[in-house]
Amino acid sequence: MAKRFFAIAVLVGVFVSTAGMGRVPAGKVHIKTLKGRQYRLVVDGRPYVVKGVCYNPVPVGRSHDYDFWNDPAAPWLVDGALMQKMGVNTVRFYQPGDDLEATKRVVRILYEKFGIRTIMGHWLGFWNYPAPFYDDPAFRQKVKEDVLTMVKALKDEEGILFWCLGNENNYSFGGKINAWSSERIDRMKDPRQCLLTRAEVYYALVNDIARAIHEVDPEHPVAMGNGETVCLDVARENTPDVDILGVIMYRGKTFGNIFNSLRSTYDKPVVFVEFGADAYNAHEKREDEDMQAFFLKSQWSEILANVAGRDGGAGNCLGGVMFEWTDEWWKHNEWDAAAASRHDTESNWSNSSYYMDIKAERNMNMNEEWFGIVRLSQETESGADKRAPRKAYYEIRELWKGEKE
Amino acid sequence: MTHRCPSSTGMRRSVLGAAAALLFFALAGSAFAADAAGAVPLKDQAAVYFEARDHDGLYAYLSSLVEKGGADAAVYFYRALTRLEQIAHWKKSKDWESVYDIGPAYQEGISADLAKAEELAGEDDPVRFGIAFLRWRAAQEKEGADAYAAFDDVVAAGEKAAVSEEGLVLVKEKADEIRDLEDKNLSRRLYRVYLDHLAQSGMSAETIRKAADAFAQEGNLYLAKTMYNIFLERIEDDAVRARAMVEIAGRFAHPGDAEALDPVYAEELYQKATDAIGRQALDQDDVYRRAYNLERLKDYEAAAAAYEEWLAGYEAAPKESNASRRAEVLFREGVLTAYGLGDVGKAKAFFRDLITRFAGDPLVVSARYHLGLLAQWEEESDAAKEEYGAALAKAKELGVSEDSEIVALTKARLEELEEEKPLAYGLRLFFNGTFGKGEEPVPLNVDVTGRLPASAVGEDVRYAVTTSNPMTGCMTPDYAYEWSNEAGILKNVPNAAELTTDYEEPGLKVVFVAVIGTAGLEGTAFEIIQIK
Repeated sequence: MAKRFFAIAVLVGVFVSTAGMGRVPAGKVHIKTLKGRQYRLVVDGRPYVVKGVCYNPVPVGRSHDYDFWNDPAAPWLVDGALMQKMGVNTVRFYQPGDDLEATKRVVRILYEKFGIRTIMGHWLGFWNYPAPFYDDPAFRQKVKEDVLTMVKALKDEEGILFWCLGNENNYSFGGKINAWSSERIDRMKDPRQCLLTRAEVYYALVNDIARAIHEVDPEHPVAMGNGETVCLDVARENTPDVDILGVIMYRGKTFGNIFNSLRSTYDKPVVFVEFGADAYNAHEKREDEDMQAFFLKSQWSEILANVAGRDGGAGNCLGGVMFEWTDEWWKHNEWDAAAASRHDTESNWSNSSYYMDIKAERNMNMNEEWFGIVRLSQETESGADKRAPRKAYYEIRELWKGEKE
Repeated sequence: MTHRCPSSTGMRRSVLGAAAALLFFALAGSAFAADAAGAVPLKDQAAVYFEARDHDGLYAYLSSLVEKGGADAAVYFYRALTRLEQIAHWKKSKDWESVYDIGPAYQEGISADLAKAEELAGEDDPVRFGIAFLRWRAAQEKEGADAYAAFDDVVAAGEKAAVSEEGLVLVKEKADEIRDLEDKNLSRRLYRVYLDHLAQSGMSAETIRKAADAFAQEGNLYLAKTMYNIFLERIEDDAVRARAMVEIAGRFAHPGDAEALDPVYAEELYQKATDAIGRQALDQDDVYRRAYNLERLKDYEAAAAAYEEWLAGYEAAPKESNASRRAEVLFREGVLTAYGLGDVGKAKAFFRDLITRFAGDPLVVSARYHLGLLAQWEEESDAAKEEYGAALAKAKELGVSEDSEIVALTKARLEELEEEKPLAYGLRLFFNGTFGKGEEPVPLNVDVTGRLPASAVGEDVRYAVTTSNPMTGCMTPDYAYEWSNEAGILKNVPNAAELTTDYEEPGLKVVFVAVIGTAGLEGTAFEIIQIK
């Protein structure tokens, strides 16, 4: 009798700790559901708050197609040391390199030398030319196989924290960017129906891949990189096997009510896999480290206030990965080779939440090449572009000091 | 010299540079006048050190005075200022290591020195305002949450200091210094202290108005508007106050050939004036100015109503001097009513009125052209041909050059009709979006603004399109921009959000733009520019 009660209690406990979430692996990295539906990331049995940076160390003069994994200057050595000094414990890569051995090497060095873990991402073919045909079975199969190849190659690396599928791919549902379709979607007259169908198609693919990852690698959770909260209502019904919501969010000073609103839209642990601020004031046309530091500090304060166990917070946040470690000089015009050697100050997009420079011409205030918390220069040091931490580096370092893991 | 940085409390602050810091020395009072030996005044000695950015040297010197004993409030005040300046200098030179590694210890020293200075200062000594200000600055430098509370102390100290004329000037100086803060409320709170004391000082309404004029002149619009409001409150007679409002509104409204000071404030005053005493508050010139201001604010409905009011006023009391303006107003009404409000029938009536009444005005050519365009869009080919033909005949009659843009555009449209070709692509997109064809028109979620809206022949006019931001994060949708109609001298109009051009002939020019995204037409917009 007692044994039966114990068995039932264990079963109920397992159910409670995983309810509403994907098939949470009880592996070395897993998510623990606490009292009050708070979520905690646990790594090797210890709580882990993600204090991360997006890491895409493309040198000055090179573009997005540069294979930095094989960079002879090994910038991760200088970056790793700087990150460690700051308190960074996680980097996020958007996609592994074609050379998975080189990728593995970088992941290992960052972990073994600096204790920095890796969130490894995958674009899920979002930048496929001419379009990511998510409604095409052959395309879906190819994407899935590609992700599983990555997982199989890297899953045994101690430095892997979790996997992150996609990055703002959901913004394509409205057909305004990276537009994709299929014959059946083309036949739909109602734009809203087109959008919802694209969302269902995409999220079903994400879930299929997440489930396959869990079969191959039960040791690491799977996150989904979603732009803002767009279409999370559709995702809720279609991604039961996703463990973490990786949200990409640029809301300026505050994330607003996201922590609480997720309870009713997509009640899973959230990691801000991209957020941040640029360091160029498009209105005053000058570098503005104060502006960047101000926004980042405010954003980090909210993230930390909402991790599990903090008074007054939602407790559903696992941490954040700020965008980004270094500036990337190629980003303004990736088709102009010469532009990669020029630190462009022309803005690419507008976001009124970053109100300090919103009065820029045509409200274009976001400078994609200036998001680094570390500035690059054309001078080199040990073969790599010289690094100069910006104010935000120190501001966040101070904020993290004394933070409990 | 100031530079700006934000704090965790959400404000951007102006940190005094060395030169600005010297303003404190003017604060004077005996406490600031001389060092303990009574020789060279401390402010002059400090100025030398600040000039050389020798913060450590000055600090050592001031510390030696403390060690000697008998140091007064000024010595401690300067010591705090020195360290504050040093931290500010590190920030300016991006020496973040020093800011974050050494700065915290210096901050403690600043607090201690300011406490000592306060202890030694007399109760009514204006240095107390300086101490409060430095304390706030220190809180700002630390980017701590206590900065707001510290500013309350600044305001309270300012209240006391403002009792004297010298103190009042100082309060304004400090308010000026922090005017560019992200949180403008801070400077405004100090300005409020300044204004309250000014208002209580028995200053005449006329003097307040002159001061407001001066602030408007120097670009301090907050202070100018607040003082104008105080001035207006002093006027008891409704009619006199309403006239004053309208006069002030005229200063803030869009002038056309320059940027407006504050067109929204102008409209607010126009509205208040008419609410108070009715339409008589505005004469014909004021009505025109208001209508134009509303047009520039893109409030097409209100602008059209105001222009209509002007036309009614003209009918009631025609003035020879306003006759040509009448043609202009009719044309603007036609354009706004057609493309802004979508009332084609009423727009045609305005254009026809212009054609009938002002046969000799070059705007007749443009009015005929727009009538032709509207007819062509409505697939009334014969009517369109007739209007275009009449436009060309009028152009010839008035001696408008064969090479002029309006003639070329008219000929192009006629050719389309004669060869049974569709309307030019850009125009077709604009009309599709503006009026819809079988579908709902696209909402006007696109804005185009031309600068300057009143320019001269050969002078650059720059149009810029602003679109609403769809939720696409950092991935900006690729838009195509189809400019059409009177795009000026450019032969190859760029497919870009900005268009810089100029015009060879004077007149009112109408530019159209249609914005197209991957999902289709995003929106349309138009702009009227006057070339003199």
